[in-house]
This record gives sequence, structure tokens and C-alpha cells, in this order.
Amino acid sequence: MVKGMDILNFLSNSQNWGLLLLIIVAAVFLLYGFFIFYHFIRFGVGGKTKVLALVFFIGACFFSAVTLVAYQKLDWTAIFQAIKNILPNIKPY
Amino acid sequence: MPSRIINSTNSFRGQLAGEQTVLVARRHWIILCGPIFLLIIFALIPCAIYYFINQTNWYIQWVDFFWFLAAIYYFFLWDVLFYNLMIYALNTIVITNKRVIKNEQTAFFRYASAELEIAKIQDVSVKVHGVWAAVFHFGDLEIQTAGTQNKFYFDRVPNPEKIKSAIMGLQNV
Repeated sequence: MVKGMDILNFLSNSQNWGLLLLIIVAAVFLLYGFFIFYHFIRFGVGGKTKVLALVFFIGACFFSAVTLVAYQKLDWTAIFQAIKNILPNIKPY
Repeated sequence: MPSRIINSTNSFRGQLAGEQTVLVARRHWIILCGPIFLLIIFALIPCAIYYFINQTNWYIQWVDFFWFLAAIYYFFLWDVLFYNLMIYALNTIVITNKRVIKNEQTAFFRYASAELEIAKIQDVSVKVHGVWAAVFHFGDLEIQTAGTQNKFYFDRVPNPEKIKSAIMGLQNV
């Protein structure tokens, strides 16, 4: 069972913020992509819509791979540090 | 087998027994030009940003983050492109040997379908308005029936005369 403390510990690591962002983005894009793919296959008339679904699927796989590779190269600690340096005047309540 | 998928253009959801597809028409491709032009403009934005920021000192620090955001952005544009293609591809007129079926898709899980029996069609009229319509051969098609069924109106269909003659030809069979 996940406790509140576990969530706080998870969020205290800045690398996990990046992971959380990636999961949210991936979930939204996967759902959106699935809907498009489903509509092409389920409601499309003729073969052209199936070909479009295939092209969309290949492109979505490509962009997913590119996004994952770009994510792996990121250092979220450095990014959050840089953001803190850019915004020094913003103080928490 | 991909070749079989490409050639299977004569089947659709709700097809009756013994019903054969004569013609499947979508709106003219010119209606896709606007969204695709906008998407091309939006696709150039990260390139323009890259052109301006790659000469700055802080670019080295942010380069990975920039490409991560750019990858998400292009993924989003890919989805938007295919959403538009989906709406375009799923708005169809299917003419079979028994019926004329109009499928309208306006958004995800939001569609309407209506049909007319070929035997009840009384009049088919074609309207071509404007220079672009004349140059690119598209126009509006109106199908009037004898009964209480609603009349059909299809806007910006390619070669409306061809569709009209296909319907008239089926009535004479």
C-alpha cells in the first residue's frame, strides 16, 4: 500500500518529477493515439483508412522512441536548479 | 496481407446482405489544405526558436530539455495531423446498389449516419460555385426523395457530376 510519506519521498526527488511528467504525457498521447487508431479501423470505409491507421501507428512509434531517447538524456536536477536560478525572487509561502 | 487490405475498398459497417458498394466519396482534398498549411507553420516554430537560441550562452545548458520539449511538440502535431485526416476520412458518402449512405464524423465518438433508398430518389442536383470549385472540380450535391425521408446535402465533394451520374445509373438498372 502506498502511504502519504512514500509519495512525499517520491516527489522530493527532482528526477521523479520528470518521470511523472513523462508518464502524464505518455498517458495522454497514448489515449489520444488509440482513439485515432480505433476510429480509422472501426469506422473507416475501405482500405485507405487502414493504410492511414498504419502510417499513424508507425509515426506514433517513431515519435514515442524519439521522446524516450530525449527524456533519457535529461538531467532533471540540473533543470530544476536552473529554473530556481532563473526565478530567484519567487519564494514559497 | 497488406495488398489485401489496400484492395478491400468495398466493405463498410452495417453493409446489408447482397449489397455492393458502387462508389465511396469524401470531401475534396482542398479542405485539408488549410489545416495542413497551419500545421506546417506550427512545425517550423521549434526550428525558428532553435535558430535564435543556439547562439546564446545558456543554450548548452538547456539543449537536452529543448529537444525533449520539441519531441513532445512534434508528437502532438503528428496527432493533430492525423486527427484532421481522421475527420476527413470518416466523412463519407457511400453509394451502393441499394442505398446512399452519408456518414458524418464531427469528433471522437461523435458521428451521425443517414441513408436514402436508391429507388426513392427523385432528383439529384449539382451546384458548382466559384473559381476554385470550377478549377479543382468540386461542388455541392443535393439529393431529393419522393417520400418523407429528408433530402441529402453533401458539400464540397469532388466530381459531383460523376456521383450524380452514378446515382442516376443505379436508378435506371
